[in-house]
Amino acid sequence: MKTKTIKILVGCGIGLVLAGAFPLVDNNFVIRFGTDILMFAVLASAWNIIGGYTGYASFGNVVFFGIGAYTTAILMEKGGLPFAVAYPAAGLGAALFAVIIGLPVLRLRGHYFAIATLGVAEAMKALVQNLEITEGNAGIYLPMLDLSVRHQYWFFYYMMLATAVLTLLATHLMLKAKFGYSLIAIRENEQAADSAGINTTVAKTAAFAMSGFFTGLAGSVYAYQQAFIQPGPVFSVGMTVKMIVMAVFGGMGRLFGPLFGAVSIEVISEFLSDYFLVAHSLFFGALVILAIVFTPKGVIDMVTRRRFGIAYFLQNIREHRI
Amino acid sequence: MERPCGVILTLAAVFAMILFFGPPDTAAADPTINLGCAISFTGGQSRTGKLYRDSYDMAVEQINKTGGVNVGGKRYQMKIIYYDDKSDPTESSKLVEKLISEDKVNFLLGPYSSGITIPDSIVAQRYRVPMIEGGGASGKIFSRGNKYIFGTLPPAGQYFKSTLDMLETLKPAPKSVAILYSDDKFDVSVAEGTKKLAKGMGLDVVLFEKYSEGATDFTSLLTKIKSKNAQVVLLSGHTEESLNFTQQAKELNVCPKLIAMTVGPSEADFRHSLGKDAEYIYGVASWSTQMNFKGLLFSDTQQFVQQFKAKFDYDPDYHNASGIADVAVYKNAIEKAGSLDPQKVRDAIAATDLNTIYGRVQFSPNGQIKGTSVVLQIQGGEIYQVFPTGTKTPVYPFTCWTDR
Repeated sequence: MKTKTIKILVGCGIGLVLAGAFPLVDNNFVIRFGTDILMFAVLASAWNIIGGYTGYASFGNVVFFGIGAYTTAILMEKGGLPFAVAYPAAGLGAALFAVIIGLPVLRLRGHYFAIATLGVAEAMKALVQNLEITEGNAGIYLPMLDLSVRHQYWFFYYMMLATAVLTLLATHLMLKAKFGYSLIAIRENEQAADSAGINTTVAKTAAFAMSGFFTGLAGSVYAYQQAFIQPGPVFSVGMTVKMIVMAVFGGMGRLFGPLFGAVSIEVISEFLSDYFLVAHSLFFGALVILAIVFTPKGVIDMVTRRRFGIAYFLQNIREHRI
Repeated sequence: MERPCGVILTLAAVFAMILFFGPPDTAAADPTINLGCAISFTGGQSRTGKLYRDSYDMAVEQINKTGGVNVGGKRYQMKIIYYDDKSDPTESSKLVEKLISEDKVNFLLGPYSSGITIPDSIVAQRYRVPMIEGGGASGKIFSRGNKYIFGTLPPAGQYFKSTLDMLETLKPAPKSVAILYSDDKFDVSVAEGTKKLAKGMGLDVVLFEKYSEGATDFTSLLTKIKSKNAQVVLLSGHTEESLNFTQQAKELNVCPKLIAMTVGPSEADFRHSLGKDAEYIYGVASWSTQMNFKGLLFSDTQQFVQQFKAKFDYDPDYHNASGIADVAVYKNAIEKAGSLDPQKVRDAIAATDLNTIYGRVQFSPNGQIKGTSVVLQIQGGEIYQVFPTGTKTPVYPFTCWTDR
């Protein structure tokens, strides 16, 4: 057990050093690509808290991303506030919204919860499209960071990296605490958890708020990097689907699963788009289907158990009766 | 328990792979000017995206066939590097980044739709690489003092400018104007711009009214037009609304001296369903296949239209023409600058005064093309261009419904 902890710590340390040294490459596109990967790692990991550990498949997590992005845009553009204020405000705003929305919506289960969250995100998009302060459907500019191009991308990369580390660290601490066990108990059997004395409403809402908080932070960095956002893209259902696909692909309910999913999916999709100008979506879709069929526990399960053989795939298929 | 070591090793391998595949191939021996373009091949904007790609390709092919681009006495071929932005602004701006920092393109061509153009233009601004776009008309693109973005779709607010200019040439010149508009973004911009222009020209805007998109009942608006005695009615909306408006105007016998509409008159459907009631109604267009402009790449618009139809088997519309103009402006600006230096070419683009099959291209200081819409009128069941030049002269005043 002791050697294992050391191994994990060393592993994390190497990972962090690698990720920290990554922007030293002399190519801004690669840095930006890294930032995008980290952003999806945050989004998928945050989704994992509510979808993976608590077992509530939220199809509207993009709403927190959008709120984070718009909070940042409005505070910086209309309020003239610095990013240092807008960034935490974006996370807190999204978390607050999660609490308000979570109290009624988290009473629903299964498909009903999924549909309700989807509805919340769509409603929020419509609202933002029509408000005066968000400048409606035409979109809103943000002030640009007054640095050289390279330094701008470094800034966004390290902000996103910090957000990702924060998300994973918080999830890790959560899992060690009673709170984490409450969530898993809710996922496994909510009624049993309730009768065992867990205040399920509070636990679920807190998990939803936590998920919203980190998603909002990612939205904030994203908005500042893009320097212009529009309601359509930042509240798009496609974004939620991407979070879910990454979490499932990597491994739901596993700490590093979504991170792994984000990295592999983004890299694969980038290579496919590079080589196939139009057919990339087709190959990509096929790949995701294969991954779900053969490794329903996520690719991380295959990697951590060092099982790559056909026997493993067949076992998976048998276990999950596909 | 988690076993992150494996994960991290794999991560490292993946990063190593990116680094390995990252650096671009070394440049080919032939001197080439590379234009970069992240545009929609898939997703919601892919249909219109194709119109631009067809035009960009055709223009580049034409340039290369006719001797390439002459930069200070040296002949360059032109080439476009495409990526699919999946109709997603995040993806698109990332790909523009890739075009600049990996493919080292010389200049950029724009994507389709305003929402995607803005984030792309911000990347172009960061790197100080010029981008000419033919697919975004929103004033928002040009509102932040970005010196590296140029657009060839005219601003919505200038849409009726040619019509207002025409009013001054009519005898007797009308004095009072009614502006009616649908409540969507584009039409609101058209109406607000028109109001400002009309006031600047000393016209009396007696009616300025908004109606909801898809409205079918115009009786109260028509009554107001009658009571305010508006001589000119400008309607900015959609085909259905233009149809309903015309039919109800006839029923109520509201008969101003001139009726002009943004959308409708140029469509065959509109003319067929209204028959002789459609006669003498005016329309506007930024470009149509009937126009005849002498051009840089093609000898004139008609020759372009023929060649285009033969190549792609569909009629070009203003998107296509705008795309041709984008590439033509690059050729002209690069030759004028005599260099591939982005800064010099940017300045040459800003100073563009060029005849293309799309019309005369000149940019306002904010980077958007100076409005070049033309006035059309239905005469004898066909649509003709009547102003500033045209095959027919405008018929004015409007012959009343009952007198036909």
